[in-house]
Amino acid sequence: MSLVSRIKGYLLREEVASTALEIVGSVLIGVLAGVILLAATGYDPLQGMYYLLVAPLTTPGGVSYVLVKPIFIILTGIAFAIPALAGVFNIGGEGQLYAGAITALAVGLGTGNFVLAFLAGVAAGSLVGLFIGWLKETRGANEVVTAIMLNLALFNITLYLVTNVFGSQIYPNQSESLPRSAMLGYFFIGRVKIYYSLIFSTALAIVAYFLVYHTSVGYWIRVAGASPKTAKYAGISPSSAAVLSMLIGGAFGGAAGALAVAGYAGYIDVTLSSLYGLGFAGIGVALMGRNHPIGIIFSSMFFSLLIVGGGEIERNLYGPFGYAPKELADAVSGLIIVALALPYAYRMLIARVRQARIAKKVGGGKA
Amino acid sequence: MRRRFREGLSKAAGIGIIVIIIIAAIAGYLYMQSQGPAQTTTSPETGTSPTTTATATGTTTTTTKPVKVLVLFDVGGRGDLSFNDMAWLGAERAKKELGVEVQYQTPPSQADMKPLLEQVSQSGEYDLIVLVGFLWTSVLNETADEYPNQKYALIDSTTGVQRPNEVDILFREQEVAALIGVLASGIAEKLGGDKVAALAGMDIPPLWKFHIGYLFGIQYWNKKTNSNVQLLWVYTGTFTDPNVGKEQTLQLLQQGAKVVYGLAGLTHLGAFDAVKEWAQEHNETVFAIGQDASQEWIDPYHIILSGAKRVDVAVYTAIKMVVENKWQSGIITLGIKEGGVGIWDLDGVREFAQLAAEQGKLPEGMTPDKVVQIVQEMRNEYIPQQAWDLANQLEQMLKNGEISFKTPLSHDEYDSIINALQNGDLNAALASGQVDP
Repeated sequence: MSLVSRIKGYLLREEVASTALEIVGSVLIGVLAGVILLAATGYDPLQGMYYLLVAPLTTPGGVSYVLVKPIFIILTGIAFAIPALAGVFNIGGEGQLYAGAITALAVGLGTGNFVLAFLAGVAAGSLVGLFIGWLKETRGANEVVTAIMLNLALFNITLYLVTNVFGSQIYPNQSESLPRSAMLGYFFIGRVKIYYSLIFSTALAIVAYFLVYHTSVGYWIRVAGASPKTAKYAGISPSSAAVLSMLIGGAFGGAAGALAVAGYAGYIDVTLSSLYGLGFAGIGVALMGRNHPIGIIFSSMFFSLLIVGGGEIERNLYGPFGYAPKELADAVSGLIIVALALPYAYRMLIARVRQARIAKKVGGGKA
Repeated sequence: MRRRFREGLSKAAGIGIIVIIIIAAIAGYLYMQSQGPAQTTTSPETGTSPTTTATATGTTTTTTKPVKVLVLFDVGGRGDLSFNDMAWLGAERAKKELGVEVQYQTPPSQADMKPLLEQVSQSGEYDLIVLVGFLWTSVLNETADEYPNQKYALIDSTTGVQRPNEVDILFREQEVAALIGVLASGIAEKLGGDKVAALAGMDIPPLWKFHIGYLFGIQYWNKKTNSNVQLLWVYTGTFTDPNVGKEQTLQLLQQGAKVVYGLAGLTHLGAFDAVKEWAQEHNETVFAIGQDASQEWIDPYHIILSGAKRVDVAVYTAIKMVVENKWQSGIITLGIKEGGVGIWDLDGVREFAQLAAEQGKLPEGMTPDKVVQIVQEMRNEYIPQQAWDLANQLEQMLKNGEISFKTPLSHDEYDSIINALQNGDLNAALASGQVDP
């Protein structure tokens, strides 16, 4: 079969076509809602959409900026997506990120070695993920509740360590900086600045893709998520698949944290503002990318574009009451993100409810 | 059947994509149109609608183009009723009085600061980029050399590097702290105590300056009135933790402090809570003093004064330099003489109470007028006239340049100045002039 016909065949597959249609429709609906909001608040909606979606891509500085945030959210997106495929709701990407970041900082400062710092961060994140998964499967603790509580605990532990143990003697707003040897640098294509860590996290996403769709581990995870009954029948333990998926998800969350420190900033600031929210952003990014690692690469880029574009709106969009406030920009990008994430989130929910109903009807399992 | 469904779907997807492209094209066309000559009619009252893409043709007409300034806030942005809001006030004043065009942006997080600064510097769109607060220090230090034609003004911090395209605007904190020291001592004696306290953030150079000024003011009071007011100075080690601030303040009050001067950003919001709690539980009058913005509105019964750090004046000064073509790189310090620091008067208290009211942050049952009235009553009742007189005297000497304070360059120098002040040697804190013995 020739390449063209293969691609054609792929595109004609029902799921691909319907996904494409859904994404296009969602973007249209989101943009339309944003246009209505802008018009209602008295701003020129076309100008607004230009700043949000196009302006950042017209300058090398803007493109460089758009290419920063995906470094982290590709990975936190996958941290959500892999457990989600196994039917586990990993809201703990945030905590796994903190654990990865602070561990990478500590090891980076101690050894001055990037590889060690990165691996330590990954290990810390996966331990947190494993802990949540283990509590769920052995003690029946709801993973959402455990994860939220752990997020809070890890936030404060990290905060404490950053201010009291690793605090900088020079800058009161940050931890000590990692030495150059413990960090990944950047390079330029033309005037566009690209961090090596972006290449790294994209490569990790591709690894995740192969893991999920081309290995037996990935197959277990997907079967366990799609139908726990079938999995059991086929000799796969759904609960160990769930724990395993949390371990893998946590590793990606930890990797995001490690790269935020050793692959980008080199330090953690004392309000954790450079980390806070990246884990939650990962959930949105994963839903927009339909929990598919390759989809997540693109949705991360799009998400980042919306953030940078939101800044363009705040800076440039002029209306009857002066320049648009930051909140309006956030609201417009929020609408587009919700429109994109909602259909898939809805289907995920429906699938879960249906599963629970089947489990009840059959009368087996521990629900 | 299924096949037809499939084809239908992909056809629909194709149509969808085409529709998007068409819409995007129309949008782009309309946008370009709106960027053309018609733009002045869209906002006739100001004539300052954004001109982002017109710079290519505008290069020859730079003389008629208004000066364009970008103010980059701290993370968090407007609504802090402190640094960011003051920077906004200063820039808005410049917009009105100097006819400049001002744009604002808030970085979503500290991780965004560097790429954002690089983006806007690279655009070459702005005559001046104003960076509000010390979070920008290391970011600017890494960026400024790459864009030698871009002018930057860093407010309340310094990179420590002299560059022709960078001005760092600092404040002479010693001067405001000295005035507060005199007034606080007066309040403490009025309340029958002999201890005043300060809750400081971290042991860093700006706080050293506050410490020297505050202690100088206290000793000035002691010398002039033959009293013996003592200073309790505490470093909390954090600017961001109100809980720590509250605990430490309760300890200071336990040790007999009658006045606590908050010098720790968010941390000293906890000091305000502690003072209120202590006053109510022990049925005793004690006061807190705010810093930077006027903070009296937070609790006018217990916050009697605020030291001013006029970020608005700093922003205005920076913009003015560019507008009047009097660019001066390096470090500029603002003190009492330039109106950069001082004590917030009742007009200032009212202005911030109004800002707080607009943002819905004023405590329940308060109005700006009521805040001003309460503060006025408190000040009349608890600040002795003698304290005002001595503070005014000091203020005049600073204004006339008769005296000026030292700025310690090392921790050792700071320690030695503090030691000398403790022993009553007031002149040890002065770089020029003398206060009579």
